[in-house]
Amino acid sequence: MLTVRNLYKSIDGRPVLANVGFALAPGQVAGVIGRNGAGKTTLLRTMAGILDPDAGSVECEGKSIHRYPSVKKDVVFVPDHTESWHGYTAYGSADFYSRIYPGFDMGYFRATLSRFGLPLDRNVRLFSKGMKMMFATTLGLATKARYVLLDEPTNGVDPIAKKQVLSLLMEAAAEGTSLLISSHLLEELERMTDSILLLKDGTVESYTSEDIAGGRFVKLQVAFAGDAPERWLASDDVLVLDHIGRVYTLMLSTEGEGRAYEELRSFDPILIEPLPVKLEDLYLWKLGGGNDVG
Amino acid sequence: MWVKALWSREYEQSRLFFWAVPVVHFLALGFQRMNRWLFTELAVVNVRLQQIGHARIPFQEAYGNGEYETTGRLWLLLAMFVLALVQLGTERKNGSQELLFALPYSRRQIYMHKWLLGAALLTATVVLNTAIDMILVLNSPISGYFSLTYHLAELGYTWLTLLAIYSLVLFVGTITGTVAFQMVLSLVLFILPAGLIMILRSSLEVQGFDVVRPYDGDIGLSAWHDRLIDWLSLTTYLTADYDRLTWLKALVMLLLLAAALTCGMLAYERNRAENNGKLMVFSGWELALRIGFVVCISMIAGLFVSELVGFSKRIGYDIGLVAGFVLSTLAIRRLTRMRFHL
Repeated sequence: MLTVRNLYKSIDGRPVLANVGFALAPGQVAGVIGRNGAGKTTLLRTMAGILDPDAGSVECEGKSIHRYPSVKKDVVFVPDHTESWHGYTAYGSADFYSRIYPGFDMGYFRATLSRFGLPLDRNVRLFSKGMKMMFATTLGLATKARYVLLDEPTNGVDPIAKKQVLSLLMEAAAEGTSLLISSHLLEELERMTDSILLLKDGTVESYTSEDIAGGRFVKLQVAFAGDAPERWLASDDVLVLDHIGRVYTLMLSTEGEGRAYEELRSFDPILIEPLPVKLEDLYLWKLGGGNDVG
Repeated sequence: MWVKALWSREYEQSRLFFWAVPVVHFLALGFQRMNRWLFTELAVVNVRLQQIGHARIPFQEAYGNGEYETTGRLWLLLAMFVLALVQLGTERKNGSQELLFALPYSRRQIYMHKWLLGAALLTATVVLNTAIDMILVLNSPISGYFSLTYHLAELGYTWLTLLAIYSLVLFVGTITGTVAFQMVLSLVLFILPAGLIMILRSSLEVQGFDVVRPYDGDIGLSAWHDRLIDWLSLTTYLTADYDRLTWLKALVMLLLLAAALTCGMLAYERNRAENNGKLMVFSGWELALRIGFVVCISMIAGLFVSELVGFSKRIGYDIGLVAGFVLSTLAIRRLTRMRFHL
């Protein structure tokens, strides 16, 4: 289990992470979402031991990765750039990692690079952006570490390469590797992940796939007979996603004993039709209210 | 403790140094010795040998009192200085630090591998070139003046001095956020003690506090500040000729080495990677920088204006001091808030 406990981190006097806590179980795939500057990269870099927390801890199987860095043999960070490998060939970087991570699978690395059509003997600096991300993801997964933290693995990658990177991640997840993926690709995250960590104002809210698919929210198409109940529409438990004439597309919180839904029924609308909830809906509801982009 | 992967990473980063540094050292030491004694006309060599014969300490004269070793030391300093910049300053910018800190090794281990690589390079080049120099001397017209003590003293002193200064520049790299500022601050450290004492003394003199400078000797180091400047200046240690090598100087370098290595390791362990790109990565050192910068610039501005104002040097100094204080405070405040990509 990779556990984050009461993590605090400030940068330039601004609290980026405040009392963040969650756990990544073996084999679990979690997505980290949040607006630009919300602290996604800071969270991953702190979990990887690159940044020191101001308070709190990151523990791998009960041992702090900051106090006992050797436990990071089971935690690999894949950043959204490959600058640190620019002096190496693809093979050279794999050779370097193979001396560090005991489970490094050179066969897997070679086979995957060959599958992607990436040359082993070319300097990483000369790869295109998409090739770099495919290389970095392959390298991270080839360590066969139990926990792999990926920061925007499909950042700047074309659709075909994106598909290849995502298929690689899904294969690793199927083999039991725990993945923590920071991304803005909400559709892909929704398909791949068991849970979502939503970062806002330095704190994390965890949602399971069930929560998103109707457990804690409902998405409805509603048409009111007369005037729409403006006060109710503006309440905290309701988010108007779309509005055309009398027809509203709404998100309702089902928490608080579903009071918002009961109130809606009391307005006696002429149409209430449930719609499937998407991760994007949750994102818009939780993060779309302000202008804060960090 | 010993990690082959970390060693290979450091070696990859500085491979060029392992080839270039011994060669440059040879050009400064052995090659110069060859030029003087092996590639010179016999008549000139004979004249030089006669001079040696008449010298007070012949073997010292034969070796040129360590002038080639001093030149070699300066070239090695340049190489070790650049190596320290590559090892710490550059890695902040090119993502290497992120990679290293994410590896399953402690920062102390990572830092020690960096330092050991520098120490190994220095040891290799000093030992190799001393051996070459000894062979050259033994096969030259001055073979009769060969002195093992001389070679060992120069070897030991050069190694200790350069390792201490290399450790100091590495330490500066652990507290500064950019390679450019690591370089600037390291260079400032070379002149800071002497410079600070000089501007302090001049400031006191403008304000009417006469610092006594007795004219009582040929050496010209009788005043306390002159002696202090001599002891605090790194250049004194770097450029010391053979007859100026002392155990006390070696002890000072040993203390500097111990302090710089310890402080560097402690700072690296506590490195604030989120502050990369800023002038200083630690708030405490940033405060020290702010205070030091304001104090020095204010006094320099005071001295500068005191020279411009005709009616009263003292009033001119005070005006310059206040103006320097205000401007330097604003400037350093702005600079310490910026993030640089150098």
